[in-house]
Amino acid sequence: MGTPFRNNIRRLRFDNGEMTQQSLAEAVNTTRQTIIALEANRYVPSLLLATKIARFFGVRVEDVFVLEE
Amino acid sequence: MAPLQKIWLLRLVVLSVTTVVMGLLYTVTRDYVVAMAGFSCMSLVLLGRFWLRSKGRPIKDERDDEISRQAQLVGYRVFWIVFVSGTVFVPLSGVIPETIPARSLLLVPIASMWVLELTRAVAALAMYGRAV
Repeated sequence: MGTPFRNNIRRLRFDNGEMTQQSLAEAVNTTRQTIIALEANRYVPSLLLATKIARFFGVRVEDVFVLEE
Repeated sequence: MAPLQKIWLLRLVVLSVTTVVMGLLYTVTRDYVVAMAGFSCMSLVLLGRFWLRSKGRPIKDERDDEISRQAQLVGYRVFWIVFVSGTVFVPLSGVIPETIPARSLLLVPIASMWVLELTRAVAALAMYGRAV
């Protein structure tokens, strides 16, 4: 199921030393399956998880998640 | 496969085993009440607790919680339809011939619980498949 959000998680992962989905999942205290669903644009995360991911990459939430008009 | 997805799969397997046991009990005894005792096999779902090994990783997260919540909603909607219609129609159908259909008091809740568990497990696995 597609969502009106797209995200840059995959690009940010590769820009950060080609980190794995598992490493990111552990860093933000979630499961790898959730990272997979996020990257496939099939899950909209909570504000808490979105903030954790953005903070982990050192960017703003809007830089990770983009609402498509 | 997500750890919680394995648990939903286990629930489906246990439900199948329970159904087979209940079917066998009914075939052997021809008694609804004895067959319903087979529903106690559902307690095998508790074994899932020993199946999950976290290895330091989180075994569930907000997505698992959301899927469980939605599966619960779907399950209870179906449960109430089956429970209410069963309570009304089983006594009327003549399956239980007594004047006061006391056996339906046992039959309908257990059948409804069976439907609830089945619906929840199927809905959760479908949602994991769609990666909600």
